[in-house]
Amino acid sequence: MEQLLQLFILIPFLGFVLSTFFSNHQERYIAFITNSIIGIQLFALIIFTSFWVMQDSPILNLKHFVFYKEDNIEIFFDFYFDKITAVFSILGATITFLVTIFSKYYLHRDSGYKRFFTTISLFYFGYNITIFSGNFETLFVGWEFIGITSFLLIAFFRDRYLPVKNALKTISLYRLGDICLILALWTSHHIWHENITFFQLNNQAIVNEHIANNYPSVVFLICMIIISASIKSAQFPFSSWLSRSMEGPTPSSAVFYGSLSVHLGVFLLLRTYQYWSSILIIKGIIISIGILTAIVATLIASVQSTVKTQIAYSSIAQIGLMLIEVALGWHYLALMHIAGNALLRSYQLLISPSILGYMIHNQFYNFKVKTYSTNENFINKIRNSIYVFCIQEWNLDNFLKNLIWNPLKALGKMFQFISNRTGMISLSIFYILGLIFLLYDDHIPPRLDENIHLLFAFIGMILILLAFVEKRDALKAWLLIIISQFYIVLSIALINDEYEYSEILLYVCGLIVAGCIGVVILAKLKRKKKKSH
Amino acid sequence: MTKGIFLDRRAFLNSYNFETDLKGIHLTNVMRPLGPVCGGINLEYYFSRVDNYKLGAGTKLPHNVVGLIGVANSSDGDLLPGLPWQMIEVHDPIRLLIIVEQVPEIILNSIQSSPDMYEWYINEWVHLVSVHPITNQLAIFKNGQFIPYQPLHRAIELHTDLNKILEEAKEIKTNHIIHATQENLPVFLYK
Repeated sequence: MEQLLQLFILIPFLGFVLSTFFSNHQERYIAFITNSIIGIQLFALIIFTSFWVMQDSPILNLKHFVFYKEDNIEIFFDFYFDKITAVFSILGATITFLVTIFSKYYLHRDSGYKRFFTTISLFYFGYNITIFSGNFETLFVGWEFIGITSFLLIAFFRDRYLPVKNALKTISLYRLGDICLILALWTSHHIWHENITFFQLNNQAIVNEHIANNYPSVVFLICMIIISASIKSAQFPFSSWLSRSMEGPTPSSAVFYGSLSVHLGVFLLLRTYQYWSSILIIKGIIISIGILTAIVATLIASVQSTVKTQIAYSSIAQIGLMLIEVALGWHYLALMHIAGNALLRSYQLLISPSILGYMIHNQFYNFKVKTYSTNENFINKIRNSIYVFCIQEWNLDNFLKNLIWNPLKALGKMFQFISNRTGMISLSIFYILGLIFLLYDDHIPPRLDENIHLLFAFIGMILILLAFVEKRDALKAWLLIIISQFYIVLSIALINDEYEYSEILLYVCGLIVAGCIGVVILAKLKRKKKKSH
Repeated sequence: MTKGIFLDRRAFLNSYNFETDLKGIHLTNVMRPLGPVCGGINLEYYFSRVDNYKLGAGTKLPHNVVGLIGVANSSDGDLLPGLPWQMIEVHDPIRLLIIVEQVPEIILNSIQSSPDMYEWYINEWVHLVSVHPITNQLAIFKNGQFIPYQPLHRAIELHTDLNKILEEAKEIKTNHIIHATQENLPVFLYK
């Protein structure tokens, strides 16, 4: 039965690949392929889950493709199935299926028809990888796919300024969450000295033993997971991106920000529950984030002027409540809450453009004249101040901007002198010097030897920040990132003398392949853009 | 007046009897909403077609209802006037043409009765044609008076096989307005 789990990953992937073969004019075929693939997946999931329930719901674990194996590192794909996966997978299949049937006619004659369906197929593929993942590595792969497709769908109307700006805001915040997830991955490997699977976490005794031995590391790991989950689920203080992310087509907003993508933070916490269920302070943190988010988001939702942002903030408030339920261990309640909220929000988002039709009916039968008072008493003063505060969305957007993005941008702008031609040449000379250091590391004084890697790591970071503030040339930003990775590899090689040539070679090969693909694609896009002008 | 003419469901028909309205009072009442309502819709369609991003509402996909009174593209940005792209790409915009079966002098009196009504016709926001009820002479309203209308062709061709005309008609390449007008069928008489 475990072998069937890979089927649920392969079917969406097949759907994605097949849908790329048709052109924009053949709308019927694109829609047919996407709808039927997701329909098949839904059908298969229902049958599979019925059999699974009939066999008393065993927890299934399948160790799949091993990417890289060494002494204490083994990077492999792992698939996992328990009640959480069952709920999320059937929910995801149902909602995506209904939304793609809706989109077939909704996006008729839009110039991005094929782009939309291909991106939704890719999202569904990534979503299934995340849901069925059995270890952090697989989860991370799915997480990345979901992040990238979210970004592509928010920036669906790439000719306008606001969608692209808001998409960039969203993806930058997502990357912050991904950094936290990678740190959690690394800390987990550090604690267990092997790449564990979620299946092994079910053994509570071993988990408790590891927690007792490495208490600070475990707390750090869980905090990283909480940050990553809060970013994904738009909890306080990261709630500002969700209302700005409604720039894409209505069906994509319904799938992503109403239902599936935004509940993945809760999914992450449910998956890693065994890690932190015995640590009381973590439970306290999660419950307080949940309560704070629920209150703040409800207040903000009641002052929103647009329909979609109001639905977004109400959804965030419900997810805050879900966090409380997860922390208290009421998982069945949390799963039902997730399913209900997902279905409700996708429904509300899909009908939101025609909301006036519904409201007219309501007004016809239940009209009440609004009364306003100009009382200046204390309660009203408090009420008005909260009102104004909520209209500014508690300044969370500015808070994130000033705390995170502006310092990084300032730092990047400070070093912008490097990115001209002389700077590039001197960087390459510096790199060659670094390579010479690497080869003759016995001949340099030990004090320098210990600290030289910091310099190269610093240059790598500067190059990444330069790519972050690069606004004109996409190719330049890409090349800056690739060069920064080379610097980082050099700095890692300089840290310890026990590196393996094979590891570095593997990394550099992947880097060169990715770099070349990026350069080719960017050049092609540039040519296409010039031709259309 | 419209018996036997194929109008493709694109005409508003108002019932008006010229015999019972010698002073033009009923005509004024019938024609009063024509300017704002029908002309307004017509011009809204036209302007949304001319510049869909600034004068129209863009595509309907990212529409977000703001304040229950208007539509914007998602949470930030301007309120969108006009019609969305999906509404206006079906037909080519054509200026509204009002045809009245009445004597030109009576029509002139009734449209000049209020400046709000008159500005629609004097500024040529909509076209106005009068059909003389007795002589069937067409007169088009131009520069403040009714000028008798001389059609370019004196006769209309008679065709017996409608299907053959439809099959041989030219198909448009795209629905861009330059290509779309090449699809229009000429006016024929069909048996």
